[in-house]
Amino acid sequence: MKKIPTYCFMCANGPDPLNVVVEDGVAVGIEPNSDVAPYHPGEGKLCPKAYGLIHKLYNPFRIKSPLVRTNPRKGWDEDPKWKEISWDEALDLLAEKLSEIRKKGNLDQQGRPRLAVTTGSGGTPEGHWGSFPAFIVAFGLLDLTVGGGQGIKCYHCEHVYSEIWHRSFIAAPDTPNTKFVMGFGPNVAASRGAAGNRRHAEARVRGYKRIQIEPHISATVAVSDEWIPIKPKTDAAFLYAMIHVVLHEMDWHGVCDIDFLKKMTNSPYLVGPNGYFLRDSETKAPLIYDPVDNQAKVFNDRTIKDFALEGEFECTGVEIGPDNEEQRHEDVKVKPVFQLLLEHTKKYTPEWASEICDVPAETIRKCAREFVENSTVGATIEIDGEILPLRQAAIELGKTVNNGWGGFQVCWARTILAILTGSLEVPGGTVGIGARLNPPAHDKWQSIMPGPDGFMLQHYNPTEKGRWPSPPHFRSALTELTPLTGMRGWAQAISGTTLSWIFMDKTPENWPEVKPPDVWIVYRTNPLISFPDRELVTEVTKKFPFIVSIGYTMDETTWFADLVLPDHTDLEGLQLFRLGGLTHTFEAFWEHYGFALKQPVVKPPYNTKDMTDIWTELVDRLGILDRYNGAINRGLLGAPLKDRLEPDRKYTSEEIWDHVCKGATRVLSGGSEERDLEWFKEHGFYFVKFPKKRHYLHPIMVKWDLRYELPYQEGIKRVGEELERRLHEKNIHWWDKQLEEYPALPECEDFSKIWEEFYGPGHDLWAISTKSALYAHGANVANPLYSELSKRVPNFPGVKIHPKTAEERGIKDGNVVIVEAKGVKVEGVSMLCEGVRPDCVVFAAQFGHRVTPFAKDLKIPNINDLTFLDLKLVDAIGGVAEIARVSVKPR
Amino acid sequence: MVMEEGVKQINEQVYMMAVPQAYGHPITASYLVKGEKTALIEAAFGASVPNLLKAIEGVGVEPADIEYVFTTHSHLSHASALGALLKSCPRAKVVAHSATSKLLMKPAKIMKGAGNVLGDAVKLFGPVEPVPKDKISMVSGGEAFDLGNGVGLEIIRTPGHAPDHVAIYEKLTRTLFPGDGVCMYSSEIPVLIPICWWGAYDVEGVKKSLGRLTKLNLNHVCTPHAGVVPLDPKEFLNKCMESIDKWRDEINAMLERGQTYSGILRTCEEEMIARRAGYSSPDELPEYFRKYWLPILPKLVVQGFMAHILWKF
Ligand code: SF4
Repeated sequence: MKKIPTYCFMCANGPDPLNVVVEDGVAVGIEPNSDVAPYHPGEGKLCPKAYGLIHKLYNPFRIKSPLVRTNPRKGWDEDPKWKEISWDEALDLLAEKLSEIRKKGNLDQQGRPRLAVTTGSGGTPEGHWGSFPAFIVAFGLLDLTVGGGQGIKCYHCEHVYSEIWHRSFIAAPDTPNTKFVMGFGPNVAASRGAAGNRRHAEARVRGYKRIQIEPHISATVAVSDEWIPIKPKTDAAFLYAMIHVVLHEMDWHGVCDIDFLKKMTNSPYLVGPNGYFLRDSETKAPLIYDPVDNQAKVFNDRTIKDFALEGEFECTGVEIGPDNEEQRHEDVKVKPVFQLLLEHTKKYTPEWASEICDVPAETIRKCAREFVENSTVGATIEIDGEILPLRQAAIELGKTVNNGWGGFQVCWARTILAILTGSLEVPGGTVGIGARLNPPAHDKWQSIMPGPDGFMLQHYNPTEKGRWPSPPHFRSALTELTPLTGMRGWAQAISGTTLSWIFMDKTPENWPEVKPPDVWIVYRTNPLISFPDRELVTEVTKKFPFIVSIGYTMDETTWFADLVLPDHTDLEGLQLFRLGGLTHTFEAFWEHYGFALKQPVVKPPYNTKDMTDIWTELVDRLGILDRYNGAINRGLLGAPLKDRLEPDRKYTSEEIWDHVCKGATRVLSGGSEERDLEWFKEHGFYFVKFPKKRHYLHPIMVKWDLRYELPYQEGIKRVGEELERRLHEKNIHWWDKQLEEYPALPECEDFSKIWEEFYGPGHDLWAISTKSALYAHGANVANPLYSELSKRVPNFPGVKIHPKTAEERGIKDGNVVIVEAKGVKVEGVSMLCEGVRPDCVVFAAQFGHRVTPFAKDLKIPNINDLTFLDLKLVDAIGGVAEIARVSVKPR
Repeated sequence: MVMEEGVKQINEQVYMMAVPQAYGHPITASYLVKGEKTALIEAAFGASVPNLLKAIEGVGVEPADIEYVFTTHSHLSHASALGALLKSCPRAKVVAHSATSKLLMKPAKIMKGAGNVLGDAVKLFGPVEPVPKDKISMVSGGEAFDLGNGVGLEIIRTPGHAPDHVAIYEKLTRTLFPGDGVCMYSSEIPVLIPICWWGAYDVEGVKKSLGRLTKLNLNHVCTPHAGVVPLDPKEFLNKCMESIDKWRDEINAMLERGQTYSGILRTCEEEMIARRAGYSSPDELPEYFRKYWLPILPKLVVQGFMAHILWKF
């Protein structure tokens, strides 16, 4: 018997190192790797999903050899008539298609890449796709914006806006130090994996309080202290009312962190009559008002004695509006941002919110008070020898809460509550996990550089006259329509990928035609299940001329493929991947950073291939091996190489990763140590200490004398006004609603009305979805173990419905019900449950499979059949919420 | 740093051309190297190409006869004129590191990078036109270009200031064109100021590259932003290395004492530059330096070293 170290990366919490027990060349068990316990925030423990890796490896329904489609017709009723072919034949065929692209030029006539690649959930494919990053560089421009579920399955607004405000792809409570958490929907107990759940358990032992605000009792409500059943898509109103309570019902001078507001935010900046900062006429730096010296001064003037937060002043200066238009003002009346915030939030009373959210006003008041009390303004804590503020209250947002309309307001309001109490990016408060739009991922300190106006530098796509639209162009119109995502890191994948599908279905007016890619490669994702409006996505997919699916079992998207390449599964492939630091998507708070090896634990039982070998074979056939090896040498696979690959030599996966292992350990050790592949095969991982204080931006913001670009969005306002000009210059008006989402101080409304109006009368219930611990992140639906286990979870596949609602409709527990939206019907089995609002039904995410083994037998409906890709539902950054208005009746 | 406007012969083969740019004063000097063939080193800004062409003609060289234009790296002040310049130098091949070359072909990133540092002022420096691929000779270090009559230019890889940085060495006159891989130093501002660019300064990389340059036998060091170095070349290069360590250690010490960016920047301007150069305050510094370099150079240096220190864990 042998124990072989490797990692699990089946969900966004990973990778998590583990051991595989191998007997006589057969993988027989998964165990935690005790060696990793000192480095791992979950002490090396695994979540139950990891145990299914064995079943994934030996799944009898695996694709056992490359397949080519012989029936050119595509449809659910069309048998693809797969024919097994050799790897050489398969790779020759793909190389031929890619080489045609290279001959024609990477871009189509509209300037969009002819090759598109779509990968799946939570960044997990990164830990399996081998040398794909080097392939991208070697091949040149390709389109990563044909979405597989981004913008709807992710935390979309949080991803985009938190990167702007505090360089965080995910904002989470600092669970190890917090005392009070309000969760607006995130089902953390079902989806934060071993490390996250360990952190939550420790916090509960410490006595932290969690209030979960969502329409039904999720697994997380079950481990919370309070449940507030809120009406779907009204969370913004709840949060705005909390701000109102703090600013207008409590004594904000006494309870807010005034020093933080004055020195770490733009609260004291003066705003001119057009809504832009009033600036010094000469230096163009924003002005503040010093109430001691009774004069306006540049925000970083050394002589400032105090910053006015309230009042109105007469000052002289300039405003810089869209397209750098300057407007001079002599003795004009101006107010500080904070004064505008006070005025702006006056109308959002708990009574106003109560009407919208269906939550008593007193409950909102109580939450606001508890949030402020637990924020412990003034408290400090020593971390890594540095004294930092300690604010022990945080707010966490769920997926549907921060996707689609209202998501921007939710994210803004949550962050405003954090700045009012000084709890943004400090111990115990709301902190960011990594930065994905502003690399590097493992250490957010490195993504901070001083920018204009005392804020960190932003990297929006240009919108000024003459610079818009800036190439390159993608199907999601990332550089044209959603400038806030920028072009760095994961920007393509996190852009409005919903727009790619909408535009490929029908190009909007005055827009260059959006054609499908010549070749579409799909890897570890199944858009025909995970995207909303499955009918539209299916019809568009049928139009794609050549689809390549790299996968391990047949699934719905693969059903439409022309070529199927079965790669090695998690226990067969080879890859070195970074872990620890802030690289993990959620709140694990690693105190080490390093690399772990995924390695083959047994001889692959079928005719499958390692991902790196697949890419190497392709670049060799395309004659671009030199560019590929050059990219690897420069560090595209995680670390630059010291012993460089020769430009024209074809290396095996083992040889490539051996070089990367050495490069990575040299970088981590500062050049003092070098570990090769053999060493990693034996030891599994290599870590260095990651200082705890780097979990927080506060220390680095202070060192750089930077302020958060909050609460006033002057930059976003300018981008929005410029974009409006550019689009209107081209007579484009179908994006006008989205252009409204660029305010300096966002207004709140009852966002639920958008869905009520879209679906119209006859749809009297909300359909929402929830994660299950078994299937969270979807990587396991074809796994026989989970299928087996799900049968033992009582009523697992049910459509949750309140008994009163069921009775009104003559529905009994266990009935087959028809859920209908806009003429589309799905069927499911009712599960009567008091723990759901009477105006909601709850679906498990995400099923409705027709082809995927095991999953297709579960007969669970998919909410995506009832959601629609329509610009009316798409927000300014291209996101859509996974929510629908439906009617329900017995079959 | 403070470069007098005009054309100056440095030795038999080399002319320095400091022509008016962006703000009206030379910021980047180009150097003309004459053998049988002629080469130009550093192309500076798009907007100042007419001035540069006039200077070239002034020393009896037809721009159309220029054989090579070398650039040490892809930053705006070194490479942004290349596309425009080639229109008047039809024979010329651009000699650049392969990574520089990619940016020259698609120069949007050059502008974007410069925008990070210069903000809106970037527009003053003129348009950046792309360089066609067939006009570029890509180098990676070690290549030699024979200009005839014993004059020859060699490429030396010097990553550090930028990852794509190279230096150029003329072997007959033993003249080094180090680009921004050395510190700035002039008679008017006799302090060695490391040249950082946006992001973390690669202290180890720059020192390693400097180490490579100290092995050369040199008569002149011709820098792009401060002209010909008025010190013994070897002494200068060694002092550059010492100075880089000193700047890092001083900024590190300030950070450890709890000082923050604006305070460190002030110390840099007042003490580490002005006073050490013999001026009582930054206001006393020569006008050109005060106007063009002071608003940008100290910021880049402090940011470069702070990022170098703070990004490490
Ligand atoms: S939390 Fe995710 S990565 Fe970690 S063991 Fe579970 S499935 Fe694997």
